[in-house]
Amino acid sequence: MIVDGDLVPGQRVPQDNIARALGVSRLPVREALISLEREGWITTKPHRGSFVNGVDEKTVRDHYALYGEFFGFAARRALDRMSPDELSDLAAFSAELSAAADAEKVYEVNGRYLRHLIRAAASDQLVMTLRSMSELVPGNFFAVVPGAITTQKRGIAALQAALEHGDAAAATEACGAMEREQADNVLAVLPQVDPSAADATS
Amino acid sequence: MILDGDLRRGERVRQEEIAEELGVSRIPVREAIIALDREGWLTDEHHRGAYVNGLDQAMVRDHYELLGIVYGLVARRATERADDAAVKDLSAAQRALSAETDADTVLAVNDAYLRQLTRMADSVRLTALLRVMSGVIPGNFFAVVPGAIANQKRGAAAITKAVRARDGDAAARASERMLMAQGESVSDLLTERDVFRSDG
Repeated sequence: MIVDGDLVPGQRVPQDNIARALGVSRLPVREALISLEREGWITTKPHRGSFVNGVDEKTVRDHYALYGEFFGFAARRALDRMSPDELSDLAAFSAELSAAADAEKVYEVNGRYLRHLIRAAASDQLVMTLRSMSELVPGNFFAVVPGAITTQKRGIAALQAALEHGDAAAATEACGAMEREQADNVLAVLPQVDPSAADATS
Repeated sequence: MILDGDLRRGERVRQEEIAEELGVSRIPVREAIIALDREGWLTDEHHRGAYVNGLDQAMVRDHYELLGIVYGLVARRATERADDAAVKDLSAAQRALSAETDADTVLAVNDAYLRQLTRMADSVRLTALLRVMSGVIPGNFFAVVPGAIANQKRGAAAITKAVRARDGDAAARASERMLMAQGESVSDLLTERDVFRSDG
């Protein structure tokens, strides 16, 4: 809602509306807001409510840079730890992703590929770290962001090639480059945000 | 099962139960245990059974590499986003750190250095993430871990030099190297204290 402009920076988060729309009570909405505040998306003012912070360029770039780094780490660990079967599973998913024709399919297969990669990395610590990251673009990223499908297909193909060559440096670079490009794609579609509006919470 | 806490450290892996639950014979379960033993998640003691390992070297290495990645990005952003006045403040903080020898003072002065670096990164995302990343060592890291003070001083000097030179790559590398060195020191300590289960 922040990203697609339904909620703009400085706007009060309509907790009751959200609760009603999701068919839940205010309690889970409040809990979600606590998480969002901890992650920096909103600011809660006692007795006045929660207000949306600006989603600025820095936030977008940092968000995707982190994913790039974490997937790169996953790739390096996978190279150390994965079995030949796991690698061929990844190859199959990569091929399936290349062939995927629509956003729904891309979303599904991309998710499967990345989950397998993370599992192949066999790192409890990585899993825990990724759990503390939330999505920046809600819903189907590949349906919402123009160019995202092409970028992801190209990036995963490059990553898979690097994995098959056992090239940790190339795998790391492939992940970083893919996520940098996704940041560019998101920035192109994000509504223009006035950073100073984030402070105008009267 | 280990990763989501169903099997805890020191707990015996009950092969019959797992086989039953998965609807397979004991043979694939046995093979899985051998593989897990090789990867360090379990210790297979043959006739006595297989037991879940606690902390191991891989976990320590992963933890510090991930922290290094996050600080690496912080240092890179600091290089890109901070003004010259902030860089001067960082240099001053680093000089202050290099002058201290007492573990308690180092802890405080190092916190000040990292807070300055994090502020310079100007990143809501990174600041939030650092807040939830926990440590492996309880108490004062610099009092507990031999070599930690030297690692931190060396790292802070390298990071600061890179930030002054506005070299994002070098700043990131220096941060990653510093955290990896800390990870190795922690690993050495835990090995010495026999915290890691040894293989076979």
